[in-house]
Amino acid sequence: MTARNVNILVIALLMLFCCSALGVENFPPPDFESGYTLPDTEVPEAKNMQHEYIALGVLFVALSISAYLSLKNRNRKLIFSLMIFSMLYFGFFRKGCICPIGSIGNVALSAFSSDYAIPLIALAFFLLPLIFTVFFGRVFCSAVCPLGAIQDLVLLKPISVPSWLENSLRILAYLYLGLAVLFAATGASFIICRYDPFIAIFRLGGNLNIVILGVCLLLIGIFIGRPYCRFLCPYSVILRQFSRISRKKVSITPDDCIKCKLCEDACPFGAIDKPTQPWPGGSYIKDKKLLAMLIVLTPVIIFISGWLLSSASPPLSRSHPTVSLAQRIYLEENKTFTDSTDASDAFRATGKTINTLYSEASAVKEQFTLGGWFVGTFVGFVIAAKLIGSTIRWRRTEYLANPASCLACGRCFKYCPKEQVRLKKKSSGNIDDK
Amino acid sequence: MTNEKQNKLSPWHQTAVAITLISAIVACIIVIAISISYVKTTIVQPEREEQLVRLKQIIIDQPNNQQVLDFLRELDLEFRKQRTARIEFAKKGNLLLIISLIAFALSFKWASAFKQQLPNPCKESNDLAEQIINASWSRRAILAGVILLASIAIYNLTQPDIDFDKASVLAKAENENKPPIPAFPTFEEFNDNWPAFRGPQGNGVSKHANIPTGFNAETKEGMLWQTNVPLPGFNSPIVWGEKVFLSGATETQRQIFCFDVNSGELLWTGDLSSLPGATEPPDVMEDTGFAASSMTTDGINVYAIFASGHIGAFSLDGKKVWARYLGIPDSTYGYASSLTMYQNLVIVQYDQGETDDELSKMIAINGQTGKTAWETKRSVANSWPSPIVVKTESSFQLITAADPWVISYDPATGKQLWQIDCLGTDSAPSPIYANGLAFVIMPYSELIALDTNGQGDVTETAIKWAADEGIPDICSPVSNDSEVFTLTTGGTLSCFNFSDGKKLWEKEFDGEFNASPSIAADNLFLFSIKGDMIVVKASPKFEEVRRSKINDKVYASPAFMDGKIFIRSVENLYCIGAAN
Repeated sequence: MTARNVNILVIALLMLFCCSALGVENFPPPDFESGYTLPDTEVPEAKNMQHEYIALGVLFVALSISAYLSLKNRNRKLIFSLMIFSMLYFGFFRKGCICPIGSIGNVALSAFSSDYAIPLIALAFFLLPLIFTVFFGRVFCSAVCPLGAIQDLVLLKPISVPSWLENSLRILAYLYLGLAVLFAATGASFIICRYDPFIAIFRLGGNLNIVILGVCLLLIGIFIGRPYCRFLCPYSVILRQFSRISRKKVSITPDDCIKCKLCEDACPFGAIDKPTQPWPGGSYIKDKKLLAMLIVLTPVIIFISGWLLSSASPPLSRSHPTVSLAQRIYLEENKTFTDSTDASDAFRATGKTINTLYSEASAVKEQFTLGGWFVGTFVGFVIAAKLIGSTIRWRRTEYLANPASCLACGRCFKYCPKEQVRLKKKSSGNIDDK
Repeated sequence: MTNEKQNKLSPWHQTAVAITLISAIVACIIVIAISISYVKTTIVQPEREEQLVRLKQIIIDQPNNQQVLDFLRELDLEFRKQRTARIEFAKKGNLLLIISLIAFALSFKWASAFKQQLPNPCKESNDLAEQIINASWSRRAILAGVILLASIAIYNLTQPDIDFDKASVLAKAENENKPPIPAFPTFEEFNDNWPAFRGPQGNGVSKHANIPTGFNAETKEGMLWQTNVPLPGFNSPIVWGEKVFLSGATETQRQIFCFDVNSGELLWTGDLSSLPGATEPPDVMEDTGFAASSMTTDGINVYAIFASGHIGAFSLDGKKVWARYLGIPDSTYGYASSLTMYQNLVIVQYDQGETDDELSKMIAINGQTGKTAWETKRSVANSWPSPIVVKTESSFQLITAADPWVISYDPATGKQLWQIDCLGTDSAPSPIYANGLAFVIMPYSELIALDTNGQGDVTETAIKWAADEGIPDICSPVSNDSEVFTLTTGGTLSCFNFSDGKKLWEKEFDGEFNASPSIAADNLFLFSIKGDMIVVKASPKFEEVRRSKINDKVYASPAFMDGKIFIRSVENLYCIGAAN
């Protein structure tokens, strides 16, 4: 085992032990005795929005710098420095909130519920990275997202994930996005925020299970670049689509590709597409048949996926507080439980009838069933599209950064001989800064 | 010299390696320290905290055990200090750990940069074959993933689920078929019975005019029946319709007895002995016992409370409806306040401890469900009077007497209406209400007449008059609206003018008296501990009507119904009345 590998093992073990360190100890409420008089409940003053506006300003500046560094300056070291700054500011200082990824929940709820008005700051955090992506590619992922930054920091021994596996695992992110929208739209919960794997690390404490999840992802991230961003992040699903149509894209070479193959293994995120070769006739016909079959099967795949997700509405809807309470009351009424919970006691104290609760729970379940159809259809469409995509032979003549997958991290720049020439010219003052 | 060797010799590379090692060591130390703290918190500390839980249980059972209380407080404070320190330690530790890990990762990357190798152009490979394989595997992986997700979804389909629409219909049908909760009795129905200690208003006055004035225990003339009460108790009988109810208790048993009004037959026994609660019996005086509190009823259920703090409800047919444990009351002589009713609420005067302890409270319990309807704390010491619910000119009031406050509440909500600071320690006689005034007794000192129309602290304005001769310590007063009568334990019966408290007459009787005097058919009924029943005219002039005697010890106040008197001795229940 080399010294480098030993070091990696050390950091892996350290991170594993972090779980116990970051698991927050619950402090029991004071056991007041009869002599204690509870103070009057005070309504805190409204949160000072100044910090939020500053954060929005910092986000805008960081995105602008990131775009400049990725597309114009092409400097990996500065991108890395900005990434560290973003991790410290948006992650540790701002405690990871509000973040564009979590704001998906706010947007979904505001779109489906007339009772909820999305805060402008949340909306701005959601939209700003998207707007930048339309113009400059995934510059938010490259150096501004604190979740990406912390994963990038621990990437020490990258290994490449086979493209077929990467392609398949990415479906999880689409599923996660669909479920996140469904849960938020029905008012069940903001699952992206609740299960943010790195929030406990940024806040130096939190739910032990979430800490374990975050540390496990970081452990994986030592070898597999940014696993959360690539396979789970619901926001990246949206950014991928916007990045496909972005006006300016990150390019490996500042000039024409000479197909030297030096950059082939440069990307730890599998975002470099190799040049393709013409297909032999037999395979071409076979794939054409397969393509035709998949196109025919697409409605079936979409329907089955929709049906499966809608059928899963009973367990999914249990995460909604109304359904959860109705289930508890039902089990208490049927004597399955002989005791009561605070929630069931509180419900009974309201004087609301059980029938009303059941009706409300039933309505929520219907929402989940309907939403399940939409999410299932969406996921089915993605699956069908991926299957179809695997049969289509894209023609590429040079090494290209995949516009959807490229995180604009700038790792590949230095591998390109043309870039080296550009840098030499730049240092000698004879530069046409492309 | 190769590039790698040059890099190794570079002072920056050496610095990077050194920082990597140092930050790794620091991170290891921090992780070890935090892990030890975590183990202490999750494994060692809970064992110690069990000790705290045990002590809390002990203090519930023995609220007067000052030694345990002090130790409990000390231990609790110690734990809180330790926890605060640990949380602070963990916060700082986590911050240092994150900083050291970031330093480790950054320096590691820095050090690695010195050893970076030149890009290695890939060997000639069969790109076409690789592309075909990738596409094929991609399809297989997607299908495998889909099959996996579908399996999970199908598994979920097989799991039982609640159909809330169906449940809603069933619940609705059930509600429609459920017998309606019986309405609580009207004020008039309440007055037709003897549903609480000293009658429907708690003032010891019977509305019946045909109450017998004597009997002969030897010939059984005027005695309808006599029956044994299985367990001892000093509580008074209550009557609803054709049933008489009593409670009895020992250190280990707590029971309710229902007798037939006409035959004295024991119809059923309700048992509250095996309820959860204190394992040790309460500390009570012999003269108080474990069942001094009289029961009450709303004609739907009967309710009983014991010195142990157990309270329970039984239907009139003897089915247990609910039972609760209120905790052993901290009472010097043992808990003795009787229950009373307001509509469907069972009113408990739970006075305990000293005034500063603030342990005392009024509790109203929903008679049908056993759940607390309201609870009001009160700044009084442990006392023994029973609360009364009376109908004043404007509203119903729940009047309570204790040390030092006489307090009136709205019986529906527990809201305090007025209070008067006029009583002292060892308050035992219960208040009465007659003709617009409430009467309370400060033992051995004063009989006080109070106006009940005030609000807030009316100590300065509400006291109409006070008399200071012939004042009892246990027996409650009684009034016929024109005179007020008191009876001391030593046997002195006094008569006071209702309007000004002027003493009209007094008469001394032999023997000791614990049972409060009662008025029925214009006669005063007195019961001595030795079993003498003395009937005198309730009038401005003393006139003895008749004396009778049972050979039994009587501590409880009697109950009066149409043509009948129910007398509870320690071991027996007697029914006095003329045979039809």
